[in-house]
Amino acid sequence: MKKLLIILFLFIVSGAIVGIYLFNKPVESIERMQSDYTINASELLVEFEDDESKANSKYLDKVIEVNGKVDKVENNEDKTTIYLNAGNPMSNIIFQLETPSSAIQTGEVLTFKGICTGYLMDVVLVRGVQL
Amino acid sequence: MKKILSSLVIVLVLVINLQAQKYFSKTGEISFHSSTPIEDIEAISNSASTVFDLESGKIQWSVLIKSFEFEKALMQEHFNENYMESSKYPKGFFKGMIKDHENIDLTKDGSYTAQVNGTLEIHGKSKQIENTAIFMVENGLISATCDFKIFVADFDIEIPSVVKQNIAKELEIKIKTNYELLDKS
Repeated sequence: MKKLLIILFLFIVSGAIVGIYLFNKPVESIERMQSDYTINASELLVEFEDDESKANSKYLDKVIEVNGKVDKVENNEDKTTIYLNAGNPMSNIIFQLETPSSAIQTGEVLTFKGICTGYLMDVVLVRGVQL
Repeated sequence: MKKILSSLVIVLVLVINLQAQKYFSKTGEISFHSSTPIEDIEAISNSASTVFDLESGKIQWSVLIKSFEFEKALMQEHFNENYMESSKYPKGFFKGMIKDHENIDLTKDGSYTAQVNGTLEIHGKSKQIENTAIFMVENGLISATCDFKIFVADFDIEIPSVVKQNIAKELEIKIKTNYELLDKS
């Protein structure tokens, strides 16, 4: 009887620990996540321009690797935003970087990985990292 | 021919924009804060797009709901899937007017308080709002801030009764951004 109680107690405690862990789990870093798609900047923009809802259902919440030329780097307080050239003067592929970086230069051709959040005038990816 | 036409259109648009004194940003910051005795919840997006035209006073904001980032993964998931239904309603919009915009002189350093009114659309529901915004010019850099509150219920966002105690009925929204003159390609 005593044994049963101990087992039951251990069950409840471990359940509670798992519950608390899941509840407090921080947003996962993207670095260890597998990419769902690899594409260059212009092609990605064209897909959104052509058919936004189709592109949304394909790319939203997905991890995407995008290659392109850096048009602009914006450092705002502790945030770095990268604008990749996508062959259109008004629209870019925008990455919000997970950690600020001052090493990235305009004109470099680079690949970034991020989570696609959708299309406004630009395709916006968050939690970006440079590969 | 098509190329020439489209580049002509782009040039025209740019020229019109130049005359219209439009200012824009693609890195607008929007954060919201929910505070209850049980828990504080905060989320932030740094990729809102915004443009305003000082001549006409028109101002617009748009933000991707999925670009809001939370500290806890589960909160972010619930926010997107259960409350905001961000796959169905991926964007939030504000379209409005800056009152007395002719009193704002962005060529001079200073701070200007202005009433902004318009329509806020979230979760597919629209509501008229009016709030005070502050436009600032410091060493030629233009920025704007606006703090206001919204009721979750105004936008048909349903919060299940289990977590009703954890999420405030009224959210504090904070907006801030730098603006650039829309003069380059």
